[in-house]
Amino acid sequence: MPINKNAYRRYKVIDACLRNKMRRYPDMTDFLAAIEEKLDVNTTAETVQKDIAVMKKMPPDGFDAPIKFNRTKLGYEYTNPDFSIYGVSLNSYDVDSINEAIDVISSIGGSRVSEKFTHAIEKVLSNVQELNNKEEKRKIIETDYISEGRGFEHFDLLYSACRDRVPISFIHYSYSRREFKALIVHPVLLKEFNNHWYVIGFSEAHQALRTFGLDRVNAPEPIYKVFQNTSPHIIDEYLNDVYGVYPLRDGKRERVTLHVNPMITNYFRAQKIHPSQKVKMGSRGDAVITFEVIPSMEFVSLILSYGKQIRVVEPAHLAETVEKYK
Amino acid sequence: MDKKRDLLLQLNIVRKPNTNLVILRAVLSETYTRIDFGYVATDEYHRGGWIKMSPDSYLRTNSSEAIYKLTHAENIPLAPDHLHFESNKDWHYFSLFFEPIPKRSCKIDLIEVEHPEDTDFNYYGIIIDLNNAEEIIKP
Repeated sequence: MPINKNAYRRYKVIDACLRNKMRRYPDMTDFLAAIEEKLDVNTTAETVQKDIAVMKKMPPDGFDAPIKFNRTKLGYEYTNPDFSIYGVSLNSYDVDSINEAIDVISSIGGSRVSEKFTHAIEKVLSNVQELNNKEEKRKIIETDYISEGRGFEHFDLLYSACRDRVPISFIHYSYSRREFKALIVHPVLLKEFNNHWYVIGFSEAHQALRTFGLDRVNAPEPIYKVFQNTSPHIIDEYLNDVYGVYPLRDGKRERVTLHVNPMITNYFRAQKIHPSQKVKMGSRGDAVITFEVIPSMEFVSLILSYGKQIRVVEPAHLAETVEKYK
Repeated sequence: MDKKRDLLLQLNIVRKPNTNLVILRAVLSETYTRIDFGYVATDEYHRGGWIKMSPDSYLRTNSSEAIYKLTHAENIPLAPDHLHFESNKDWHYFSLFFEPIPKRSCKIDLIEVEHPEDTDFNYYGIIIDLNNAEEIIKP
């Protein structure tokens, strides 16, 4: 006979009581109080006795739960302390850890991952949430995001294409050249930078790895075609050498030197903006910061965002570009 | 040629003399022929002007007298409706669906207006070379 939903919710509360290391050997009063608190219903000792009897039954009627009344402690216990009706034993510490992870994932997942993923996460967490749903959900983590950006509807398709190595034909519009082009790209990676998503892949038209903003990708169509593999080494090089997404000029890595005023030196000392960053402090609190990096439009934007507090020492072409946009 | 396969051709044909309309792709399906376009607004008109498509548009091939009528349009209104741009830097992607042309290599004309002006969306001699076609993976 299938277990009805209300009974199953009570089993979960009884299970949680039996696994609560902070209040061991719960008695009937504890069960009744917990059910009332968690489920907001009144129940009787007789019902709980029946629930325990069902839980002790073999599957599929019950859970083969090793519940025993401890006469010394005058309370119930699992004779196997690792037992849980979920199959995987989770103690309160585990549940807290998962909930912390959920907060982080939910916070990011709100906009950056597909609805499908969010739904899957909810399914995974439905069991543990039962134990916490009495308390109103309070937001503790907030991340910076912009939801529903143009092109984000293609996220699932492009993700699958990267995973399954399927070439994609799509229409690309270049903001800078104001030009449409139908392209075939062999996608390898989805990248997020500054709340924008990009797909990186081998472009047949360019015969090289290229980055395309999802907001400029239209009507992607997966096609049957031999996938052009790009070695992980080349992908790593492509990703690691550039700050941001779109390289300037010929996309060559070079030394970049910035002079930074004391007011903002601490920001760079607190967090590297690129793995190659090195800070040499001056006696007055200013700093000379060097990078081995491919300068990009995003790098230019970063420099511009600090106004007069940063000066490009080298290379000259980067200094000129920054000046041009001031 | 398996009739049920959807074939995709990358075209990237810029129309002349006005180069701001591009035929990007053609999709040959059992039930329709789809043509994808990109349009970039210009300084020629205030706030980029407007676009529309004639509901009488059709395709014809160089291999027969048959015409393949426009069945519907995506992302572009059919006349008398217009899509008005907001600026002369706007851009727009749209698709036109026609009755299915035969799946064989040929040249096709897209006719919006029989006696066109430069602003009408007529294209002539679009090469459909099935040797360069890719097959679309259907969901």
